[in-house]
Amino acid sequence: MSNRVNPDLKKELRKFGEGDWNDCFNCGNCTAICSLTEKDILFPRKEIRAIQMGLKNKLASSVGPWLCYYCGECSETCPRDANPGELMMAVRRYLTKIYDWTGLAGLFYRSKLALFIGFLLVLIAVIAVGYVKGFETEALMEFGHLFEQYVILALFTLIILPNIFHMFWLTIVKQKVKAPVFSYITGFWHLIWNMFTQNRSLKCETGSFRWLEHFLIVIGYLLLLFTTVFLNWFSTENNFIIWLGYIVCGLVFVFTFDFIIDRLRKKREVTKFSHHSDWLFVIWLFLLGLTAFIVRLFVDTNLIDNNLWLYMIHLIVIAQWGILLVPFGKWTHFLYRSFAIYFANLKKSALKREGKL
Amino acid sequence: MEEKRIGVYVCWCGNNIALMVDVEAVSEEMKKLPNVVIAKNYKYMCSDPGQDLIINDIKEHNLNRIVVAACSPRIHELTFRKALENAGLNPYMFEMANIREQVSWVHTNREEATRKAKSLVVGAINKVSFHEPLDKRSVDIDPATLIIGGGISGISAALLIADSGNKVYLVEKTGKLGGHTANVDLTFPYLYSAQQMIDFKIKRLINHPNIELFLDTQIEEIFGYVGNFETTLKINTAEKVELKFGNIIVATGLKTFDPSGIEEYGYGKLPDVITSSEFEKMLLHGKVQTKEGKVPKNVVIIHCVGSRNKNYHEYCSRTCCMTALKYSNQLRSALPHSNIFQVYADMRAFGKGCEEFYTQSSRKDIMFLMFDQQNELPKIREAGKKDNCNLIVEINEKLSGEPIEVPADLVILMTSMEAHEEAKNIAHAVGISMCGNDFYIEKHPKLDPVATTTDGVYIVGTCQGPKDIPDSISQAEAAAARILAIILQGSVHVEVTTAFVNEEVCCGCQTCICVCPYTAISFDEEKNVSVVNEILCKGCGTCGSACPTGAIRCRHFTDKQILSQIEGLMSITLEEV
Amino acid sequence: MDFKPTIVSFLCNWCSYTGADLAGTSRMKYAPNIRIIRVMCSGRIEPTFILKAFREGADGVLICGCHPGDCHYHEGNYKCLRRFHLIQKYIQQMGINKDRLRLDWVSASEGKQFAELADEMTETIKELGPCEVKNTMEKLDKIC
Repeated sequence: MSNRVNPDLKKELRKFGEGDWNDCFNCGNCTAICSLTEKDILFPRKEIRAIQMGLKNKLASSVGPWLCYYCGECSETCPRDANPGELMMAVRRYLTKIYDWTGLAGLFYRSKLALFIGFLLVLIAVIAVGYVKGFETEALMEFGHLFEQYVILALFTLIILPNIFHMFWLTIVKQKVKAPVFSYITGFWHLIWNMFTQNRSLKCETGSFRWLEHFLIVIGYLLLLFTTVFLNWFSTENNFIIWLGYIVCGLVFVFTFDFIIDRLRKKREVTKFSHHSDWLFVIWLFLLGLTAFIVRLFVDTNLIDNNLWLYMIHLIVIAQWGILLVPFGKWTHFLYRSFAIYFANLKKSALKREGKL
Repeated sequence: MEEKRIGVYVCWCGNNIALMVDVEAVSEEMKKLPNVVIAKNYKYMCSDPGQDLIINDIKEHNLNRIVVAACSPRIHELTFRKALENAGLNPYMFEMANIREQVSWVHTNREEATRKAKSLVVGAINKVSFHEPLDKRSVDIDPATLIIGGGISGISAALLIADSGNKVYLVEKTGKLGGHTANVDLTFPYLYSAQQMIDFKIKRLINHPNIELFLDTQIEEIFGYVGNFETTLKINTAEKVELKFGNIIVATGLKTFDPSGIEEYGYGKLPDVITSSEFEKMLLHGKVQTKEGKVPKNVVIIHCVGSRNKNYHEYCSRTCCMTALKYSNQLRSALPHSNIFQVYADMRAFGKGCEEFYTQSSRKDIMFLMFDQQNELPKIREAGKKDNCNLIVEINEKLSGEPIEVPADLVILMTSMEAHEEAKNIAHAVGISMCGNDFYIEKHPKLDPVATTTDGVYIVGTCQGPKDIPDSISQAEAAAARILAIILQGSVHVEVTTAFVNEEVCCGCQTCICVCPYTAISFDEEKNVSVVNEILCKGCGTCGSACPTGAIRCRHFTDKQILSQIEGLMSITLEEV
Repeated sequence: MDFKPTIVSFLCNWCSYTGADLAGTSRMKYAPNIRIIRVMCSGRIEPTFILKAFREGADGVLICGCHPGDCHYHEGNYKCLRRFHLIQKYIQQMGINKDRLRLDWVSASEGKQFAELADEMTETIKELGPCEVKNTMEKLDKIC
């Protein structure tokens, strides 16, 4: 029976993050203090209760965790020091695992060894490619450029889209949410808008500077992707593109550097505990921006031919990022968060249609 | 007959009375009444200058009756009686009119309030006119004490009294000492062994020179009054022993609730549904297992069985929540890989160390599931073949709002504490009362929690209401200390506002004997009249109102006094005549 | 002019008188028509007391005791209850409406209930109008 309690779920969840599910006695302070929770989509109390009771299906159908931007107020006000904010973080990792049909996301979240082996294999593969290409700069750069395009295409069609559809299946189809058709269309603009701005997080009382930093990283990252993959930044002669590339690279590594410092300082609730996936995400994003910046700098100063190792490093970082971290790591929160808002709106429209809202 | 000289004093009680009642008008009006020698009003009658006012007037004007119109007699009657005594007057020549609680605090029209106050004061003046001096009486105390019940409460009280060098008779119905404590393995919240604690006390008790122990013994009727009780004990239903003692401690303990009446739980039908006492036995034997002898993988503990539910008992049994947590602690160490479920209504963790115990226990990977105790009890059913467990507990889980199923191999029902089935007989034997749920009633629920309305009888432990071991011992030792204080005094004052039979008027109908709740009235065959034992009489006055000839006089509340008070009350109405 | 009835009330010392005190300490407001007489137990209340109150001009009589089972003297309130039923029949024969005599249970914690009871009783008596016992008796006295 689906609604059978399962004491093992919380034991499993413990592998996905810090915090103890035993501490919570369900007073609901966390939900009361949260500035993002709404009447029909309540969190974090409900999610924590589902974990304590081991109601896996209930947890998997929940979009609440993605609507949380972790301001940390719930953790600050929790009377039992149960750290609901961090528990929600763990739930997000767990949900990523649930959505991922390959099972690799779960494996990499739980096992640092598996992740290390993955990184090592990618590194060897890139060096092998370099060897095959005779470590020739131009050939390698051309390969790198093609590689990026194919990988993006493959990831989207084979992993990310099926996973998002899985999320849709769990949260909407399986729950028999009957939203009106037009809400699928109107909600779509919300989806896009939120995906790029994440402006819901402004409701959190964490301050707009953190939002701005995050926004600039997102924009920087997307533009970097665009300039390198579609405008061929490393090989272009167009001055505008070159300068744009420099600026977005700079945005990415400067602000991710600040994020890394933040995590090292552990001053805010969000940064008090960092899972290895959090570290890898910010560090690799930083390396991504930094190596891209230096590679283009070396191209502009004609030093790249004698310093191919630099491009090799960039290629390794990009390959590890693209093959491991994007599909199976924290990167997916970029999509899941936006789609969660979309699905939440569908649920609300369905309730409205039934006259329950 | 001496001349009646009455002094009337109207208190302002600061502004409490004076704002709503025209105290000046009241005292002026009273001056007009016959026998009223003096009528005054003063800011605070209960203050030292207020009392001195009365004392000086008594001496100066030779007053012999006093009326104070002030607050409730339940607050200051004793204060003013003392003042009368200090002035050399009998303290019972006094009456109070309650013009604060019954007038100024509850009415809003000053004119009407003043008229009502006047009528109450006239009533009091009329009543006090017929008051008579009454003398204090005291009786000697027999230093021996009878303790009924050999559980932890009875034993603790017995040891304290016996240690002081006074005799104790300890009567236990069964053949074994220790009561329910002896059936418990560990105790919450510190997980001490109950066995060790009780064994130590029992050893000391058995060898104590001042304690006489009667096992397998029943109490029949107890006769007498505080300081001088007597009874006949029936040992093994054959041998009889007569005892005399001055005080009684009732420590008859509890009975555990039988859950077979709760259909949802299937106790008695499903072999692996057991009560907390049965589980306690498993723990004592060191073997937690199902009926088939297997180690249980899933243990479900259901709280509030028979407690806090209008169909069974409405009260909380107070110890089950913590006992249930104790079980999960013991289970966690005995079966580290088992799944433990606490199915509770509210987690109550009051008392020293208990909240800490809850916090610490809740961290041991126990699943807490809440149910709606008032409307929907969990249901236990047999599991199917695929379920991989013995039983399934269905719960409408309150915190998540989900209907859920919990796998179980062993279900422990935390049964409530009930009053003992023989509580009624004992109450009858010693002359104390029970409240609606058969626990004994204390003299005052807050201010006098171990004494009863029968002087010399004390109630301790769970016969007074559900409680844990430390609370029982505190109560037992408090009662023991109260008794020792009385023994030390050697004598005790008894009620003087008792009934009295005028033998010349009594026709010997014996109606009064039928109605007396204290068997304080006996019949003198020779004189053919009823006789009141004034030591047994509590002064309720029931006999007085039943007496067809008016031979019985209830002191301080005589017919004359009350009828006259009625006249006084009615002499001033709200309507201007 | 409005009819302002006078009601004599007998309260037992342990429950009802304490309950009335509680109404006072809680500053609950009720009609000023009730005049209280304290007795130790409702079992002490004699038929004579009630008749005397009517004879002296009371428009109603209210008796309050401990709730059944809570009597300080074990069972005085039950005896009061039995007498009450008899007296209620008796006063009707005398031409007094039975609603002029009321018995109710008020515990020491029921200050609010006492205040409400006092108001209710006052309302009942106001509807019934003045009790004519006193006037009739006085007229009879004159004739005799």
